[in-house]
Amino acid sequence: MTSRRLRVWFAIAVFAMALPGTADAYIHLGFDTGGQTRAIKWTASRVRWWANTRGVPGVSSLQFQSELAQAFMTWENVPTASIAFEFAGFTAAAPFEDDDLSVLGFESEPDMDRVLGATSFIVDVFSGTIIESDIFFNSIFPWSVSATGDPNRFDLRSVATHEIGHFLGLGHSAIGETEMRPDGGRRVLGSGAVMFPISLGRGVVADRVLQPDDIAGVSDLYPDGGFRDDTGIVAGRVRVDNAPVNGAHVVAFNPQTGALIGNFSLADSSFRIAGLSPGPYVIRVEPIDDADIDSFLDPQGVNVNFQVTFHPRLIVAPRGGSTASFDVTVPAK
Amino acid sequence: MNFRRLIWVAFVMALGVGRAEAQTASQPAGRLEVSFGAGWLGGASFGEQPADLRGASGSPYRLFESETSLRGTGLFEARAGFALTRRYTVEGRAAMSKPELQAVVSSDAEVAGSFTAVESIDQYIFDAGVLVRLDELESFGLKPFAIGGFGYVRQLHGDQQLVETGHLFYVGGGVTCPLFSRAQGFIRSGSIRGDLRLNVLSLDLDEDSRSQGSVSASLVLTF
Repeated sequence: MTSRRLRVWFAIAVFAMALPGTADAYIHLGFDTGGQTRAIKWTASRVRWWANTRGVPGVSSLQFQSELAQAFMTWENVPTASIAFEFAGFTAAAPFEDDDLSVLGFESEPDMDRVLGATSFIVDVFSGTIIESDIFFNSIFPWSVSATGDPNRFDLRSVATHEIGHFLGLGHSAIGETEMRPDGGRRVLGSGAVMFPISLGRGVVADRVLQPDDIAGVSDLYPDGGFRDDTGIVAGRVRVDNAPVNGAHVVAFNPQTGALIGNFSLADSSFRIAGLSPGPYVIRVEPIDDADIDSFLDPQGVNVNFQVTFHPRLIVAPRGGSTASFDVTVPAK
Repeated sequence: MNFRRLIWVAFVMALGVGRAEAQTASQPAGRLEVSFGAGWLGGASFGEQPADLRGASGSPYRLFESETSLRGTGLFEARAGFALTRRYTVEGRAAMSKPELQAVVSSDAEVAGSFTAVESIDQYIFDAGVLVRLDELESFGLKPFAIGGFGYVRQLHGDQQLVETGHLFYVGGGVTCPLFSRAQGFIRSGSIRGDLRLNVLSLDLDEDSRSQGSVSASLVLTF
């Protein structure tokens, strides 16, 4: 049994990133096995989770459990996804212990001074099934459970909603804009997904609400009955000087609803954006420049030397199917 | 030779108009009408839609702006009507056009200038309504009428993939120019019909109604 298990670490920084492991899929987390990327996901229809008994100033253990339960419910309530959670109880076990318990709790990690929280997994390396997933919230930061947010503290439920996205197997979304700060960190100007890797900051509770990109991602991973029949896929390639572009961020914008849903091109330049409401989309392609590349992908081979480009055609996502592959040609910088 | 033939055709049409006027004054030429024609479908604006991100301050951060419209294009139509009385006719119409859907993107946060993305779609309109003849306003041999009704819009793309559906209401009017009329025979009369319409579209994915004008001319045969 042990030989089949692999602890895969995805450092899921919300404040800033450090990524000591592999994150080699695009919207979905995965790992390399035999030259192929295998997405990880839960196969149980109801996933049990435990809450660590430790509280922090401003957040009791009961408040911690309540906030997490509501964050889990946010994902469970996505109508086009079929995943459910069950609170199994409080435990003294700490997160990131190999104990077959999916434990969420506070831990003090002063060395990770830009990491609000992180998620780890134990997976079956043959099937990609998640066996255990733990989340820690870094107690060196001040936390809040205030409904409207505390301007001096980070909103626990917002960060938990992000981490639970990873817990489900989702990777980071690149739908967001940032600017560099003098201290080398990044300030978020705008975020279009709960799964954007950098927090909106203290006092902001916006990440309690899933965005279209989050909903498309979880629905694609855990599709409910009619999801695949009712939504469409946009698929194509990103090219520069007739060569493939690896790691381009491709966003489909719905000009009727304003929804933004994105994904990345792979090493062969292909991309696929699923979960789109049928209809026309504006396609925008940009290099990864609003967070560290390794927040999203294995940086090796990722091309960021091209310009932001809009595809000259509106691409129509069909209901229940995929577009024919089309090329987006981007000019080099 | 061609000029002489043109004069001859004009002469016959003039005769036809004269005969049709006389016919209309007495008996309706027929009750079933079929027409085929072509025209121009005006553009329609679908309005602006920003690509907004959530900002830390609570105000949205605008990634870019977009404005979507359906560009004007030619249309083909077929119509069938049934004259209930000399004044009122109920009619149904099928119209097909191939407009370009266009989105203009501007004010991008990372790149200057504006960009246009286009795609042709197939638009089908099926509508039904009432035509009211206003013969008392006839002048220069042209008989005016008013129309109004409702219908169904279906927009398809490529391999007939559904883009959008919705409904429409329309009002308008036009004139008919009788070409010929006869008391007996399978085809009882013929005329040219010109329509000017205002379509008010309500598409399923669009909260607002959109106006779209059209003008068309068709050959009407009455049986």
